[in-house]
Amino acid sequence: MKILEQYLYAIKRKLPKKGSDEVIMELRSLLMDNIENTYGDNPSEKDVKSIISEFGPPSNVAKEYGGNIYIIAPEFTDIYKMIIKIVVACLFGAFVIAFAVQLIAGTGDGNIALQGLKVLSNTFTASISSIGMITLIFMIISRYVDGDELDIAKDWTPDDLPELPEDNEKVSMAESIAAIVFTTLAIILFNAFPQVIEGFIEFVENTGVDWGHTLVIDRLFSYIRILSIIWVIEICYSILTLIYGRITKPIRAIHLITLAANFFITLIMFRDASLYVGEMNLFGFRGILMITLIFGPIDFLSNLAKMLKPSSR
Amino acid sequence: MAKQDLLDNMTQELRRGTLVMIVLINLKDKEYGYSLISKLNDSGVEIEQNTLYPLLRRLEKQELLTSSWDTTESRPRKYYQISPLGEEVLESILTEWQHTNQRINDMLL
Repeated sequence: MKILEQYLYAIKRKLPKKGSDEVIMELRSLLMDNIENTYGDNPSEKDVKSIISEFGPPSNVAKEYGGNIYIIAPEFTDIYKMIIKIVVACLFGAFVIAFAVQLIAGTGDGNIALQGLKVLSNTFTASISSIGMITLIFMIISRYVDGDELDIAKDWTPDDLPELPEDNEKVSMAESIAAIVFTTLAIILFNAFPQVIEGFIEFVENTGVDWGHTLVIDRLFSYIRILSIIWVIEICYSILTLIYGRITKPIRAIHLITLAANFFITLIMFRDASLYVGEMNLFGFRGILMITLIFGPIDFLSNLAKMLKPSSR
Repeated sequence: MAKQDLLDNMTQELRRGTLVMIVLINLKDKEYGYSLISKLNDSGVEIEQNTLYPLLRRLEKQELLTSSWDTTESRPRKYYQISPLGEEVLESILTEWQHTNQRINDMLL
């Protein structure tokens, strides 16, 4: 019966390839049994259509046989949504900062309103690409990772409850989120928009104030690439504080490593004569590095003391 | 929500909850899809074909049913029957069902 074969073909197209032949064979047998038992051995096309109509649209039938096929597994939906929000917010922030620096440095196209609109259009375009990439990553994860395996709540018992945080372990959620957002912004800005940094340096130079030295841009960017790695680790540290809701000793150890790495890179930059053109005085950029070198060890020692403080539990 | 709609929803949920048990009970002997539907309808259990057949496949995947194709008749037919694991599971579910019934009856006294 042509109409029956048309129906089965339409269903088969919507089934997963694996096992579809057997499903169709079973459906054909089923439908024929239905037709013969209801209308006898010589059903008309109208009779067949009546049985097919009872079965329902091919897409509904295929869905029943194919099961729920999620593009992104339900277990990953929350984290997927959170990452999308963070990325879009960071992209918007990066374009806003780039726009602001262009305005201050006077390096824009001239029409401020148009430049402002470009912020929105650039955010939209970049967001579409980013969301596409993130969705692709989560599709791959959903395909190969069982969401149940990552369901840490599956075998939960009261014994799994963490201890209450002590004073030196407490973390501010707002601070952690701000750290993630601004560090991500810095990474995007310094690495994706080098022209903004160059524009800013040019602006500082054009203020007419004699800082004694200017920066060698290429050398600066080579340090920025190294610092970006440290900043990524800092983002991981902030994410861990959010997940655990406290700064445990291992998490604080990560922070200490990044503080130490930051200090040493800053020290190298401070002493690197090839980074500067002009006098290596303590003003301008070197002055900023100097302040970092003074307060960096204080931050490091403070965190070290908190880590070494014995627990009162 | 109208009372009848509420009642229909709750009845449907109750039926859905007992469907697997009903199917396992009725597959002690080999049946194919249409014959099982007819058997259930004759017993007063109304079930849509598009619900039953995917359920049979799911139960087979869970190894509660076994299946075999019979190609000797006028057309190939896939027969289903309860497996040894299915029988064990059915026995446990029936015990649970009886306990639940008892508890409900006790609450109504």
